[in-house]
Amino acid sequence: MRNTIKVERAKKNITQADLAKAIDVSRLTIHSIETGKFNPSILIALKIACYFSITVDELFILEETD
Amino acid sequence: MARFTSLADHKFRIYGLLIAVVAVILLVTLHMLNYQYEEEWRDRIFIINHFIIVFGLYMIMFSKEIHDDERVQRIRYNLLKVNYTLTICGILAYIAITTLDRVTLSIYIVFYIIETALIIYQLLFRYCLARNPDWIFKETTRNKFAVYYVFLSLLFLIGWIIYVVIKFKI
Repeated sequence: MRNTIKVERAKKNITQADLAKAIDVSRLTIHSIETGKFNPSILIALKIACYFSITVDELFILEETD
Repeated sequence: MARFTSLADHKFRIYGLLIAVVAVILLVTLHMLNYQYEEEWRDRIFIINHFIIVFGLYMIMFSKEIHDDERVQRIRYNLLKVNYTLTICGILAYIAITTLDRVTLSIYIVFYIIETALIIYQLLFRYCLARNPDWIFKETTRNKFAVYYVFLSLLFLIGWIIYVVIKFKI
């Protein structure tokens, strides 16, 4: 699964730390989600999607290997 | 309404660390002074001391991090499995050795096994929190190790049968 968090962050011009603070997780959690190491729960996925005002399926994209 | 959690507040990490460190210093000091109060009291004091070390280490283990989000919980969950496996296998192996080789069971060795497993857990936990390694999150990569588990179990079983046959001349 890949995601567009980095792109959305760039559009909004915010850092990982800003996003982490907004959804109440640590910066390393955002980093591990961005790099695809860690798949977040629905709750965090929804929080991030709400923060960027987009849908979850726009943020997280399934790949062939999933 | 506050959600139930079995974990203590993150401040308890410091209390646990203090308790464990003080108990270790006390234990080392008693050993260095070759402590002899009364013969039957010596073991009691050392055993209580080990209990305090284990208590302190468990307190660190069951305390929250400052940002205790689901990444931290996943790391904790995966490493708890490692810790319990190490502890249970270590104690069982030691009991098996003492039973088969007629060696006296020492409670200190049991304490050392528990303490070592807890220290390994702490080191791995801190490493994983700081470095975010892939293997801690990806179930698929770790499933490759299932073959090694089966291989090691078979190896252990064969070794066990050979040992029993030689030892007891079955």
